[in-house]
Amino acid sequence: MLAYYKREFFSYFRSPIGWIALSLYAIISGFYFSSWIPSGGIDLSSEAAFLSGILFMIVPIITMRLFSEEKRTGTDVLMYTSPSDLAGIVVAKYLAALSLFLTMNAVFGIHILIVNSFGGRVDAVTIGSFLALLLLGSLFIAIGTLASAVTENQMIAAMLSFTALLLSQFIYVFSAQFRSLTVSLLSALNVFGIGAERIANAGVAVEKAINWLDPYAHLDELFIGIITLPPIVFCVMADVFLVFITYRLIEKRRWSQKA
Amino acid sequence: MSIRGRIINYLDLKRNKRIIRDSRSGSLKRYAIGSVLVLLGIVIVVNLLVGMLASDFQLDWTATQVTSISPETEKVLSELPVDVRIYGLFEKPDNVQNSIYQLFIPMLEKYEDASEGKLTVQYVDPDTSPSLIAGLDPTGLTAFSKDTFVIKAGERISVIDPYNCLAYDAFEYTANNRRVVVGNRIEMVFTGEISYLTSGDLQKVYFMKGHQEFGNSYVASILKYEGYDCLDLYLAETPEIPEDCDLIVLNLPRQDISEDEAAILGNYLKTGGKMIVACDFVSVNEPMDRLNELVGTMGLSLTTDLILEYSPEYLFSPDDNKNARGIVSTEYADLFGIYYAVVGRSRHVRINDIANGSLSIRPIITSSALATINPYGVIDEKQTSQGIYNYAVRSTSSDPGYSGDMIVLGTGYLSGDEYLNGMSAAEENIRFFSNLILSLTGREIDTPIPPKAIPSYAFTSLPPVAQQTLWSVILIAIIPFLFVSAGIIVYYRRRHQ
Repeated sequence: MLAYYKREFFSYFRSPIGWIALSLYAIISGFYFSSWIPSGGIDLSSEAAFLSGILFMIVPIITMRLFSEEKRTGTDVLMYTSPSDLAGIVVAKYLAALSLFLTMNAVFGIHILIVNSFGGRVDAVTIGSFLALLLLGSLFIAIGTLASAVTENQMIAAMLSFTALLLSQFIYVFSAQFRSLTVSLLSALNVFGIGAERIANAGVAVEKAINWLDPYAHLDELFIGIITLPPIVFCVMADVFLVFITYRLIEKRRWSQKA
Repeated sequence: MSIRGRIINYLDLKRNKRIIRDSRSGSLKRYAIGSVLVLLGIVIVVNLLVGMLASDFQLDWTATQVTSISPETEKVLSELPVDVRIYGLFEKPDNVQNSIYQLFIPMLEKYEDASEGKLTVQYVDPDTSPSLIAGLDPTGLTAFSKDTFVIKAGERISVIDPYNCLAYDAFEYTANNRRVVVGNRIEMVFTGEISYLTSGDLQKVYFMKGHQEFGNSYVASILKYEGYDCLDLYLAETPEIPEDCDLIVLNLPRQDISEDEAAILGNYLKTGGKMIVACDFVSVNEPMDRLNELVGTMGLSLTTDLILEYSPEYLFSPDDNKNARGIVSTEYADLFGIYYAVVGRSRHVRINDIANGSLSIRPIITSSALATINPYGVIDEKQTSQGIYNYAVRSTSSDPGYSGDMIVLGTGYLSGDEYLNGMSAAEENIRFFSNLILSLTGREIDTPIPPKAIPSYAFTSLPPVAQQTLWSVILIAIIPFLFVSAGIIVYYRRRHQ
């Protein structure tokens, strides 16, 4: 697994993709940071919140090639027939992408040093928001890894993860729509004579259930410096679940291979 | 074996292989789906369990624990006599960061937790739920606006504007009309309102109006928390003091009171009335003759002399003699546990030479012995003399025929909205003023909830423009360029391998 991880991680820097992702992230974060310097101060937690909003553009670039590249180059057969555990290979790929993401965030460390040298404030809120950014990134990378395993085409994988990540930013909009839809449907088909309040409560329950899937809603307290266990557990468990599905998909493909 | 037999055997073999493959494929599929569903179940259960069991585990890393609640609030919430419901009249935002509600929503969740089910919070968009809003106050007397909070306890109801819960930079607001948030007093306001709405018999404090007073909202918040009912008193329109009045506050008037008002207030003091007068040098630097006459009945004078502190020990800045730390008298320091209060732009409250032995006059806050006073604030060395001057004095009459109790403050730093908002970190001042009221109305001294400052992220050493530009170029151009260059080199090398 370690060998696979090393191979995957360094392969990012043997192709332009890793460098493009690094430069794109550096430009965007640098632009945001620089725009605050003349104003005489910056709250770095706001930068972390801003960067979390652009992950849907960056993460697909990192993850699109994870499995589809193997298929394109024909090395997927090696993966299926490798003596290494397939689950370990999937985890190694995921961790390699996550490591690249962490490397990209080294620019955040440079920003911290600059703020420190200017006498600005780097406090625990900054660290909390950075932790939230990393958790969100890890979750998005897990989604991107899954998207890459679904299809054999890199561009389709990128588009899939881009769409999924973009939609994740609007879960609260969908949840509100679903609440209205549920209330309308239950009101229209109210054969059991359920009270209006119960119908409204059912709508709220549907909305809450959908909102539970919203990673931003889970992490918003972390972004303002309040550390609680549930958002951390949510992200870690979601990572595990998505990586496990990815593993299952790859394993299914292995067993579907024709001799 | 005949050819026919061989064909039959071959077909049988193929059929059996397919059956074996189909059954293996089916079992693998069932295993895959089953394992995913089991893991999904584990994920949901773990999240639910952590949500239930670890909800109390929280590290509030914010500089002033902006969303943590104080023991005072916990006490109020644990002793709620009735159910309390808080309505946020807006759609609960999905991402609270960078919205005004980022300070409110997490804190109100703590309120819910601390109340053990007695307090609930609900977010309702009044546009989509007009009937619910109409049902909040069946009398129709309360006006509800979108983006506010409503607290309902039994039949009592109170509306809170979130912007009134924030503390703004006084200079930016007055000079540039900009609202720069420097802190919040959300907990003070919400706990105060809840305490007020759930209290039984409330002592009544009347704020005199009609003299262009400075804002009272800060003081009113404190009083509500302490269980006082704050009401307006327009003596010019209704020339009598309500019988249920426990305290009158005249807070930083910019106009003198009328003769009639002075007479009514004089009678009120004669009959054992209690009053706080705050009149600083900034709000009016003219003599307020009728107010002074009233104050004079209690043996005091509200002078037009500006106190200037010269003792470095009590100054915040050597260049600013108007703002300083006032020394709390031993009597009040022992009572309140506060030894200094921030004062500034203060009139000297003089104790008159009086023969009335029934008056007990005690300075509350004084300057150091190195202070001077300047009539009308004019800096003239000849007119000044060094000595101890009074920022605040209390006068109590023990004469059965004139038994008033009055506190006169020459500074607005203890009671004025503008000052308290600007001095969001001046917790001692707020606690001091609250204790003064408690002491005047015969209540036990306790601790009000202090406001919470928002830390400043300003650079202490802003670099010159050239250096700023250099850093911008490095961050936006040079670092990304290095990455892109590395990518191009890698690409060409691989292409030519």
